[in-house]
Amino acid sequence: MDNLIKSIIIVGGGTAGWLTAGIIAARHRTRIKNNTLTITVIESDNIPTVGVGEGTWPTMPNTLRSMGISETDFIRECSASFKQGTKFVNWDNETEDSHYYHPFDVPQGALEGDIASFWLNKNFDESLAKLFTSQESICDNELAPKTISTPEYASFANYGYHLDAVKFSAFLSKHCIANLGVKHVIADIKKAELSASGDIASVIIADGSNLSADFFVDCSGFKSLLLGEALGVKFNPIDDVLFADTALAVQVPYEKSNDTIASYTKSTAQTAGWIWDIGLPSRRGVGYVFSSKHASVDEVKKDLVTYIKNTGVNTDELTFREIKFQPGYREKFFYKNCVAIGLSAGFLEPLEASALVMVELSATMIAEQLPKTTDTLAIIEQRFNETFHYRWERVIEFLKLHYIVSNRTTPFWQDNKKEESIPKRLQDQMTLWKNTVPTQFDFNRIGEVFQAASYQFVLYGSKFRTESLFDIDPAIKNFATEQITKNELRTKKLLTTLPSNRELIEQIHQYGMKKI
Amino acid sequence: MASNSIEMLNPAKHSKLRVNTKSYNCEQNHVNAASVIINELSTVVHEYPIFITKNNNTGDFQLTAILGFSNGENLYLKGDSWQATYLPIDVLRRPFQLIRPDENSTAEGHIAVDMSSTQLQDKKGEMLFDDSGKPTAYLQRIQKMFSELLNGSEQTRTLLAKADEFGLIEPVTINIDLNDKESTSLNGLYAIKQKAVTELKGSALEECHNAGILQVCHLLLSSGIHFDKLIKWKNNLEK
Repeated sequence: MDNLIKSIIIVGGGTAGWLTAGIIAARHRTRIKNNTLTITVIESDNIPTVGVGEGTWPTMPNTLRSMGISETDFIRECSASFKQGTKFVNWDNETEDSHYYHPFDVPQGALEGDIASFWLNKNFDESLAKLFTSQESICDNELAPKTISTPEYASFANYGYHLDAVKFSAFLSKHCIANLGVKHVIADIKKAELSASGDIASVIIADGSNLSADFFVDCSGFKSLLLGEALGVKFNPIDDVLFADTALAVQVPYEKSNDTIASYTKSTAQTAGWIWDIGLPSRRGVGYVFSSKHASVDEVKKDLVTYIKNTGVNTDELTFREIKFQPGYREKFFYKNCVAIGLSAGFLEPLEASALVMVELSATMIAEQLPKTTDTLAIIEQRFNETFHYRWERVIEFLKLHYIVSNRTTPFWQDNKKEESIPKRLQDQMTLWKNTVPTQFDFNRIGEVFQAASYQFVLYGSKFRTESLFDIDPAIKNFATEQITKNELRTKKLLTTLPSNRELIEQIHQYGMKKI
Repeated sequence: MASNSIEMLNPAKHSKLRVNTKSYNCEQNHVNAASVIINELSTVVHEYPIFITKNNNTGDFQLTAILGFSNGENLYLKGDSWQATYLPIDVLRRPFQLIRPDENSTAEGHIAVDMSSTQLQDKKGEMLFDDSGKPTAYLQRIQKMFSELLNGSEQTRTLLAKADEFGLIEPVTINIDLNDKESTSLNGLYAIKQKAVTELKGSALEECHNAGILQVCHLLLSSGIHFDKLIKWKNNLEK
């Protein structure tokens, strides 16, 4: 057969390119070994990577493990630390301090009983996250999700990572080339050549050579060289839903070398957006994401400087970097013989660190359903696009949810609550959630990016309350009370067992983790 | 873990101190595990179930004698006596401990004494220092134990790390059925993977043999039978 798909070219070598290469190559080890599949990453050394994707989802440990990566090596070489969720600070209002967590653990017993209904019914002072997970207490105490004697990738609490995106990309590249048989070409891409059928036939690199492949992955970043430029797939902006379009990012040193490394992303609401604060072992990554229609860079910089100063750090020497972006995604992600993964597919503000998880999900679907012949491309194209439209829309709605349950008063926040800015499906959900808690029936697909538990943490972390119209079942009361006791015992034990996040990172650098 | 009762040994300060070596029934010995080094393995393996565990501070593998099934339970203790001919050095050294700058340092370290131990007396027992302030034969034995422990721990660590590299170690959960319906389980234990040992071939087999890993594997595999004895003791206690 001459219509076999035997070669893949990945254009672009940032985190998206190398993660995609690694995920596909790990899944198809045997074919690569037998020379029935080649994967080549073409990477320019002239284009700096955007490199602010510093927070992952709890999917990442498994992704790394499936690629055969040692977690110890990863932690050591990517300046990584453990992330257990996000802490949203002052998202409710401007006048008094408030916060809530969106932890990575699901509530104890979440799938077995309607614990959120019970929580609402009892009107507890403690948050849902505190009563039904250990993670809020773990995060409040700046502890790690595991100990040095826990095997690699195992843990007591669900976790992802905070990492240095530039180091991560280099680390993945080294692993893919050395262990997974991925080929590497360093060159600038001049243009893509199309075949008569409109497929991408090859890419022409700076020295004039023509590199052809059966299938192409566009990881070229915002430029979207293949899908956008060569194949002309349109961009679908969503700045009428999510207003943030600019970020002011800065790397902040720790005040003291033994400062705590927060094991969660801290997201603090601001006048025209919010500030992310991510703790790596060596430094913090901080940035203000905002809507340029609602604030100027100068105003934002002033607030960002104040925020950093309030954490005890001198801001005189810091370098601020402005990143412009257009929120939205491509009308199609997969077209002809090309799929876009990463920024080339779309970009949303990093409120729930959805960028890398979308790369993992996209690459996994390509790896699992890699078309064997060119005849089947159109079928996979249709399925992939359907799946990822659904996912992008759900992510957008989930991000929007954070804004619409806020009671902040500045124009940015008020505009966010205008009905015309809220997607129809989210409006319907909010109507349902007035009297019904979010359940898995609201999110019933395989591979939902955000589960019902995430919606519960955000909804009930805010002042929004679902009003139950009827009494709850006594069996649910008993079940939920039992879960609270179990969680209390578990939490108490973990608080005495777990080391601080910094302590564990230092132990890993010194001693390493075992595979078993 | 240094608590307030730990004092660095000092001839002036501890000239009157005596250690009652006749009784093992003291707080420090109410533990369900004791650390073991490979130098003593061939002896202790005759009387204790020995497993591999992880060091809490480094995650490194170490050898551990199981003394009981729950926190603080030492089935080897019966009244004041210890029901075994040989005791792990880790038990014999008590109430003394070695204070080192950090876990992996091979620097000499200082012997310290836990002043809260009920083994310490001022009338009966072994003196630590003679009139001129020199260590007594007893203290010299203790000092020798620590030098053995120090070297032995490092050898044990290296050997087990090597065994792990060869894939010879696996995690195990031990479920123990006691009297009637009661059962208990021990977690955090690792054991030698018998199948992996029998499948060793060629240069790997030779290397494991030369490094003494094979011998350690066989000793560890044979020590499991002592669990039966512990279960019997436990069941007798409850009758």
